[in-house]
Amino acid sequence: MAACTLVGLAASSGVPLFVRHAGPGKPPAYALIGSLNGVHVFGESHGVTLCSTRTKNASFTWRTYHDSIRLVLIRGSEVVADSCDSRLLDLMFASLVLLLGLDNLTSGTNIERLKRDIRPSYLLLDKLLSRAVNSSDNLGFSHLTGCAECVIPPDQHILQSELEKYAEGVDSSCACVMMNGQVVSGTRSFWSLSHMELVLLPLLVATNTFTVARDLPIYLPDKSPNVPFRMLVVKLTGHVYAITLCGPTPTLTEIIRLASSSWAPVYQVLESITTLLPWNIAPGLLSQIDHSVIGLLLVNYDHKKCVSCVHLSEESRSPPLNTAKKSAALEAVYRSVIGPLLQPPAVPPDDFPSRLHPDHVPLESYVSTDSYKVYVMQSSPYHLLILYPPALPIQIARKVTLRTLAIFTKGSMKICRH
Amino acid sequence: MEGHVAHFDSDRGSYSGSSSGHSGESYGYEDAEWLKHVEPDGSLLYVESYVSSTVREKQAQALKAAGTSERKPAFSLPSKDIKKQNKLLGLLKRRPSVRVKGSPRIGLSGEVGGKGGAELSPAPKVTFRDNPSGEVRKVKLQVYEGGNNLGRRASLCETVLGLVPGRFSEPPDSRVMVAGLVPGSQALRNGAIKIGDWLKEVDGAEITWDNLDEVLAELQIPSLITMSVQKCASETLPDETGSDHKRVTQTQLVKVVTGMGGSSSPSTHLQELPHTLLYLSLVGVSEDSPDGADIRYQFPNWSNKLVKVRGMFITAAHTVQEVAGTPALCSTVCVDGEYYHVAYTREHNDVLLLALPHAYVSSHDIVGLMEQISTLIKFEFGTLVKGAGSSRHKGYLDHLMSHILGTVLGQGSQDGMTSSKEELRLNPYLPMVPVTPQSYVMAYPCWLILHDHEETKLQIDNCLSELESGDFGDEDTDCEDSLSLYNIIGSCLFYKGLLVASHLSPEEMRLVWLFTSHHGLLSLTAQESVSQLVGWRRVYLPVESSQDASSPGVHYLLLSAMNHCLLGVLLETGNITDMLDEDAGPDPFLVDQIEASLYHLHALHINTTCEESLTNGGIETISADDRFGKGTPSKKPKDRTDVVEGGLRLPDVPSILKQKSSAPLEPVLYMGEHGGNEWEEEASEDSIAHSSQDSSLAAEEDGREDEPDDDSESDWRIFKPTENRGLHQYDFEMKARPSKAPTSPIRVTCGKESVLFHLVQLEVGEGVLIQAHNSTPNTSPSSPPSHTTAPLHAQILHNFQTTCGHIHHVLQAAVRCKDACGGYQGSSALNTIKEHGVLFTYSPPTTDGGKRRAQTFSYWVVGRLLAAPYQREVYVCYHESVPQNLLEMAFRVSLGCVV
Repeated sequence: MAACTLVGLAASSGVPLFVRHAGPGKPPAYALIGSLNGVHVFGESHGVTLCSTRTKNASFTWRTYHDSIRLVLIRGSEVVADSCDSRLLDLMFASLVLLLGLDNLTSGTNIERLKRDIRPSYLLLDKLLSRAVNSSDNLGFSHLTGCAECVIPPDQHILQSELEKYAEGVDSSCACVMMNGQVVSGTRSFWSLSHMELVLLPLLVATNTFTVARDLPIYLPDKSPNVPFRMLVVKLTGHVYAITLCGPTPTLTEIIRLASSSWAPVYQVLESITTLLPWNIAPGLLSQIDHSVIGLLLVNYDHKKCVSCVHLSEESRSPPLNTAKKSAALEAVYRSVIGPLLQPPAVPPDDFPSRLHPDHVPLESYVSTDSYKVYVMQSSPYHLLILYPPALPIQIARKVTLRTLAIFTKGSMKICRH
Repeated sequence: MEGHVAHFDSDRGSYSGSSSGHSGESYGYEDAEWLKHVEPDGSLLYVESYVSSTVREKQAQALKAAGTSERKPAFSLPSKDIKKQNKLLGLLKRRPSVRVKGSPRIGLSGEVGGKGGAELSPAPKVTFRDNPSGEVRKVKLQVYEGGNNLGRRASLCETVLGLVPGRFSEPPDSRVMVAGLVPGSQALRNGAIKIGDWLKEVDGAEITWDNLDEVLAELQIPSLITMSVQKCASETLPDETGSDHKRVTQTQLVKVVTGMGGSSSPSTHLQELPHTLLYLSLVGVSEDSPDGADIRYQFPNWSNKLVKVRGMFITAAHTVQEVAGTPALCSTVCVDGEYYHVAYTREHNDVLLLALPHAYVSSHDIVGLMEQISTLIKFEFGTLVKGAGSSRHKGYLDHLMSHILGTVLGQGSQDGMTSSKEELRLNPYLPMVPVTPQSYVMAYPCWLILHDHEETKLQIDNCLSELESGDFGDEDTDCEDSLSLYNIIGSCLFYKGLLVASHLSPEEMRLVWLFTSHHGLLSLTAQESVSQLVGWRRVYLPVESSQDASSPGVHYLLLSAMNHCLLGVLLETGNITDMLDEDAGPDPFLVDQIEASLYHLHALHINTTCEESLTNGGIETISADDRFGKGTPSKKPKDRTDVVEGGLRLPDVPSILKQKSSAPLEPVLYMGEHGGNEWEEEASEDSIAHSSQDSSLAAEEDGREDEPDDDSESDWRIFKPTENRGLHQYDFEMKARPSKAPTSPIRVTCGKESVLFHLVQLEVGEGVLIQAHNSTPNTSPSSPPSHTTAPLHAQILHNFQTTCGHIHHVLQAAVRCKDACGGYQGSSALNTIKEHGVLFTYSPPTTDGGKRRAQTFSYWVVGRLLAAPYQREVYVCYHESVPQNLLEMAFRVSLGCVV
């Protein structure tokens, strides 16, 4: 398992605010952290911004936000992916803003207080870190893709209309139904949230073990970094939550009452969603997928959604990969292929332009290892990564991938439908 | 030849005792010109050009023709008679090189007129002592198009005027001398122009060496032109005047490459482009040291922002290493919105820094480049501190760095994409030196595959082996003394910058290659033919590669080149170390032997063979696609040079296998003509089967391509040059594919079906490369400019190279992962990676106003990691429609490369 360390410092004074570490090993000593910070400060004073440094097995990324918070990410990595690391840093900073608000975070004159205020964000930061090091209890790709993780429910329209009714009732335009940190259904204005917000909100819901309902003030890092919203989370069934972003009204008790009255009629539907776990994909679609597919990740950048499934059955003849390995494989391939080669269409281009000729567009790619094959296909606005057993010939993998993409994008079961 | 002998006597008198060191008086023939150029520390880089770069081929032939007959006895007939003869005579026979070179080549046009192709032997040292004042004459000359058709190698001066241009050996040396007259030319018939005349004006325009071509290019042809020539009195025979030494004939390019010519002041553009190489040491630097005391070496010499913040890089390098447990490789910084990469090499507490703009190199490139630079410095000086840390090497390193960095910067910004790639790029530091794009990620010597010349390969190997063993069949005791001073570790032969044969271990091979490549010698020999090149340098092999670390022998690298061949020999001091003056230059006898080997190789027509392999196919990997880009089917011979651009380099082979080196590939690639082992035959049969199968599928077969009736016939036909034209044409006529004409690197499939654009092989374990070598054959000034390369073709090449770099990196993740240490490690998900492929789709820009439906076509770039025992990577670029079994063939072929 890889190791990953995040260090937060006050940019002006260089005082370390927090050090979070995931994976084996220990975070670096304070003296070294100071020196990592000093290097950056020295360069900045001369107009030279140190962005990243890499060694054979690790990469270091520095970034200063709003001249007040400096984050340093040290990440064990065999694949150099500058854009991945800097995107991860942006997510880290956004998760600080999410709970603290930009003004509180950046204007902090009292370092000690800031340290204390940041502490609630540790949960979210650790979640992101453990995703970065690929630990088995935190599977997911939203931090990589910049898109909300979704499930594809069978009766999407019923849920959708119920959700809209519910949102109207609680006087909020932004509402969604989530299951295990994955979005089942969302209102139009929920999907208009920024990429980062769509990644962080489900993570935040998943990190907090809510009981029945919770009222949590949050700032939206892009939409409203300084004016807090109330995030009202109501548990509907064992895994399903209804989330609304509200103003000062209604109160939590009103919400609970409203939720129970409006969701009760569709309880059966909600229960049936639970059966999607752990596949995340409606059985109707699932049955159409070729048996050789043992894992997949589908991203729709236009709609900021991604669906992953690593629980597909595998034929017994190839040594089984556990879900953590499958998801690590998909992540490793995603990081090494998408970004350096295939440009995600809706994500703003990286600082590092591709050196490929503009007329020659890479559209497909594959990686083949001893224990798996991954086929990557780009068909704007989709990226589809499919995991195959190693024995499958690549030509067949290509055909199956094409067919699978068609299953998801054509016909009545479009993932992109709101 | 009598003239030489007569001359030799006088030489002997004037040169005795002129050499350095131990062997001064024992050999009277040490009149080698290079001896005077040996640096105080013994190193040497001496290059002599032919009088005019444009006549080099002919001159080479003349030399060869002249040399073969007399050399033969010395090498192939080591008869007892010779050594019992007068020593003078014996030496004479042994030293063709010095003799031929050292003796003035007096106007030969008459004497050698009967030698077939050799009439043009120019006379670089023509002297005229009569007529001291020199009269200016006006000569009228009729010129007409194609007047003197001498082929494409000939210069304008030769074709238009019928004069072989040369240069005066005395200043001002920009004057153009008539060095020879083209047989049958108007100028010769006219009779008014003599060899040795100073060509002053053409149609009133003053002629210098530099503007010669320009003036001639502007001439109206056909027309009657007026030239003014002057007999020149100042030329004198060097040995008669007793002047300290002759001026060395060097072309502009040679002067630039060797650093003899003054370098021009760098352009402002260069100054504004932040890039730097720094060697920083904090040893002996205290608080009150002046600013910059920590900079032990800096190139270029002007400062920029990156130099100012060097402290940041030192600290970063140290801190990062401490945190991550592995040395820092590279940092990315942002200055004024521009990104720069900074690569590090640490030696103890000193740091070597290289900073270049992101627009020119990617972060992977710069790491690779840095590794090369530091390896090279260590190779030449032992350690970084001895090289870069010492001020007395500054001039030397400056020149080296202007080669290396100039090459990088000369490639131009990579963001601006490749449309301008067709023009010849020049090194901004060293004008004249063309830049060939290369990959820094996969930096290994490139092999030239000798095509269809099994015997030649054997001959080369034998020749090198003879040289290495000192087996000249001559037991002259005098010679043994000096020979035993050095043991030859191994040698390698380059032709036009491409490796032909190597008897060195992969590590040593790479070092020698780094040296020759970064000093511009490889590109020099690729550009023009040199008359003589002697390079000598003490080198330091890495400790682990020298066998006995207990008695560290002193190593030397000796380079010698003639025409396009460059022979590198790695030496170790022998048992008589006390006799050896470490600062002495190369032992003339040794140089002589190596030059003799080169002559020997010439006598074996290695040149011709190599050239043939280079231009005539060798292993073709890419076909031109002019039709797609320009709308014209390309059947011109020019395409042949295009085709060569993608070369497959053979894997290196450990030296124990040296006799087999690279030979086994041939049967595979060339269809078992020489009857390889069973497997090979099998393979070729397979491929034939595939190819013919494919061709039958291609319905749009063109009538002009007559399909071979059976496989065995196709064996032979494909190799015929005349067939190739047809094959290409066939490719271009295929309508099913979007006018794409991929040619297999395996000629087997070349004519049948579009298969592979490119095949490239990297042997990490063996230290050998692969990868496209661009514009190798068409850089000589007289050949047509190289921008006939189809743009699409170049784009694919470029994409292929870029993608290979990427794939290489991903594949290497596995290797890196295995030896990960320290606190931070990557995830292990990719550590069993075997293959990585990317599909590109090309959709042409819609320039035709939508008139032509945009055709898209797709191609794969696939890299495969082949497992132990040969750690090797193979990259192929092929059309989407290629069936998997053919692809497997390509990989299989590469497997067969190493036996």
